[in-house]
Amino acid sequence: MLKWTRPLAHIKTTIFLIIMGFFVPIFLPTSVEAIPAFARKYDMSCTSCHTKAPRLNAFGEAFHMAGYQIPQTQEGELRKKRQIGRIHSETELMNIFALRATGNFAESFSGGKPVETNLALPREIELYFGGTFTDDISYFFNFSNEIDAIEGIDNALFEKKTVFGLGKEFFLMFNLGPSILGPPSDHMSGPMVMGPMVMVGKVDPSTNFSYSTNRQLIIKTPGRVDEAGNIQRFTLTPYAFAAKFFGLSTGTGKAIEVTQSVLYNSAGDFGVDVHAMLGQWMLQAGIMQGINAGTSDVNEKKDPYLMARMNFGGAHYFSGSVSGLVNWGNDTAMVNNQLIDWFRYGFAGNVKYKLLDIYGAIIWDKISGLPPSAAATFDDSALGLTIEGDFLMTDQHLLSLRYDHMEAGGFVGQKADGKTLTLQIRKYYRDNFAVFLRDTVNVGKVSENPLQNFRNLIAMGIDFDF
Amino acid sequence: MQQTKYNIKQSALWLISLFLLLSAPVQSQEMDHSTMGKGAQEMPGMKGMKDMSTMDKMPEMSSDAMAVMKGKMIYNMSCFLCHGTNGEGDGPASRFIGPYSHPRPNNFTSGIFKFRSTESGDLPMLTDLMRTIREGIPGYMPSFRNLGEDGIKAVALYIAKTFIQEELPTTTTIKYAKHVGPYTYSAKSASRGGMLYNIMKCNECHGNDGKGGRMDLRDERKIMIHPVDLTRQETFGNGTSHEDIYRTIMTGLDGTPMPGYNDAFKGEEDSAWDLVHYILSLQGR
Repeated sequence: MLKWTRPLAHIKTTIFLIIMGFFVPIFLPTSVEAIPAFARKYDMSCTSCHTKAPRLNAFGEAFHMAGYQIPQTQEGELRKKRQIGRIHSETELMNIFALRATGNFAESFSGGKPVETNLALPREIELYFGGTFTDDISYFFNFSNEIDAIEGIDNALFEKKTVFGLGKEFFLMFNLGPSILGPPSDHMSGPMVMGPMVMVGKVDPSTNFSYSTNRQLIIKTPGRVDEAGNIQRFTLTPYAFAAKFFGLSTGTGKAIEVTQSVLYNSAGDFGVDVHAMLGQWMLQAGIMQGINAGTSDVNEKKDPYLMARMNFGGAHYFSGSVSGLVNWGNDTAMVNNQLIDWFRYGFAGNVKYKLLDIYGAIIWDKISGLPPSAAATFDDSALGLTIEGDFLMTDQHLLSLRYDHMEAGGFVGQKADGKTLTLQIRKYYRDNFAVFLRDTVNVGKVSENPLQNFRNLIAMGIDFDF
Repeated sequence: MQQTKYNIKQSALWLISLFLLLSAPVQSQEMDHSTMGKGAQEMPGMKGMKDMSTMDKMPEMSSDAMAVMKGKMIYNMSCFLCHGTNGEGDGPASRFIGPYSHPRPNNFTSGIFKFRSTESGDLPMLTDLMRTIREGIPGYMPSFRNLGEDGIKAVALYIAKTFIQEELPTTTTIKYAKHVGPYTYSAKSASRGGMLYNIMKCNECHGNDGKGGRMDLRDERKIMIHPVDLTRQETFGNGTSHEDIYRTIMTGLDGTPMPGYNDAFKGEEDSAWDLVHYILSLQGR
C-alpha cells in the first residue's frame, strides 16, 4: 500500500481522486446488463433480489427467509439439479458459487493526524457457497480474505493484519415448518406461516432486522494503528451497531474497537437462530457466543436475543418494516479484567417507495456488573443512531446519504462522541460491478481521539460480485 | 459511577413497549372465508402452512372457487412481491427489476398481456397464464413449475378472476403447428426467412445482424425498451423453442412496440416458419 503524508501530496491526490471519480466513467462502457451471481441458478437478474447488491429488496428478503429458495417454489429449478432421494445435487458449480471483491482502492484523510492518502487493492474478497440440500435444508458458507483488518490484542492495543478464514456467515438452515405444522391440508386459510427456520453455525441474525449489519452500500473504511499498536482512527462503520464503549475487551483480554459491530449486530457469530413469519409478523429468538469471539467459548455463557418485526405495504411500490430488539450479553466482555453484562436494545425501520430506500436504527447499550475499580470512571450507557437513504437516480447511478451519531460510553478519560455524514455515489457499469466515490465528513468535533481524528475522508472503491 | 444517561425506567419502558409489540394480535392475511369449502387439491408448494380454519363450518363450493382460494394463498406469499397485492404490477420489489427501463412486472388489471397465444389485443387464454407461471421469464421471473399443475392453475385462476375480471378466451384464431414434418429446419427455409426478415422490416428494430441495439423505443407505460438481441436466446422472454418463437411472431408482444404478424402471414403460415428458421440460424441452432 502506498502512503503520502505530506499535505501537498494530500491535496493533489484529493483533486486527482475527484477528477477520476467524475471523468473515468466517461471512458468506460455504459451498458448495464444483468450477470447474476447466485441468480444464475434461478435465471434471474441481480435486481430481482437486490435494490442494488448487496442490499436486499422485499423479494430478496423473502428469498432469504424461505431458505434461499423462491417462496413457494421449493427448489423451483430442479431442471438444473440431480435428485437422489430427497437430496438435491447441483450439476453446475457456478449455480452455488459466488465471489465478491470490495473495498476502497484509494482514500484520503484530512483534518486529523496524520493527513494521509492510501492506495490499496480491494481489501475484502469473499467466496460464497449457497444453496439447498433438500426442500427443507439450505446452506450458506462464506470464506473471506480481508486486508488491513484491525484486530484487538492484549493491553488495549490493536494490530492491522490480513485475515483469512471463515467469513461473516457459515451456517445450515432448517425449515421446521413441515415437521411442526404437519402436511398441508386441503383447506388453505388463516394467516401465512413460513418457517420456523432454524439457523445453526456462524450466523448474522440481523439479516432479518429492518436494518441489517451486513449488506452495506456504504462499506467500512479501515482505521489506523501506529507502530506501537495504539489505535489512531477507528474503522468507520454504522454507529448504531457499534460497541460504543471505550476500554472494553473480550473475555480473553483482546481490545474491542469502539466501532466494531457486536452482539446481535455482529456481522456473524456462532450461535443458533430461530425465526418464523406469521402473517405480516416475524418473530426471532436465538443465542450467540457473543462479541464475535470466534470458535472458542470464552466465558461459557451465551447471549440470548429476541426480535420482532412487522412488515407493511405491498402495493403502490411501497413497503416497509419496523423491528424491535432486546439482547442480553451475558458476561460477554471485560472491563479491567472483570467480566461484565451488556444489555442491548433498540429499534430499526425501513421504508421503500419506488426507488427510494430509507432505513435507520437506534440502539441503546447498557453495561452492568462493573468492577469497583471502574465504577467511578466508566460511563455505563451509550447509544448509536444510523440513518441512511438510497436513491436510484438512473439505471446506473445510486446516491446514498448516511448520518451516524454515537454518544459513547466507557472510560471517561478516553471516550468521545462521534457524528459523521457520508455522501456517496455509485456508478454501476453492470448490475454486479460498481465504482463508488464518497465523502465522509466528521460533522462533530475534530480531535486526536480515534473516533474524531479526521475532518474529511474522500474514498473511491469498487464493489464487484460474480 | 458516571451518571447513567438512560436510566432503568427508560429501559423498562422500552422493554414494555417491545413486550406489547410481541404480544399484539397477529394480523392475518385477509381471507374470503365465504368462499371456502371442500375439494381443495393438495398443493406441493404449500409446505409449512397450517390450516387454521374451522372446516366443519365451510359451505360446499366449486373446485374452481377452491382453486382461486389456493391461488390467492400462493399469490399473497410470493407473487405480490412484484405484482402487488392489487395485481397492478406495483409490488414492493417491482421497481428494482426495471428501474428506468423495461421490463416491469405486469399490471394484470390493464388487460394488456405480452405473452399470449391469442390475437394481438386479445386477452390471454388461461393456458397462456399458466405457461408463464410454469416457465417464468428468463432474467426476471422465476419458474414456479414446482407448484405442480394444480397450483399453477390455481394462481392463474386467481389472477383471472380477481384482477382481469373478464372471461378469458378458450380458443385462438391463430393457426399453430408443431415444429415437425414440413416445418423442420432447412438451410433453404432459413434463407427464405432472411429475405422475409428485411421485407417485413424486422431489421428496423432488431438490426441487420439481429443484435438489436439502442433505439428510443417505449412500451405502453412510456418506459424505455430495447429490441431483443435475436442472436442470444437467453433474452427471449416468451420462450426459446421453435414453437415459442413462432408464437411470438404471430401474436406480437402486447404493450411493447413488437406487433403481431398473424394477419401478414394469414394463409401463408409456412412462411412464418421460414422466419423462425432464420432467427434460429442467427443463434447457430
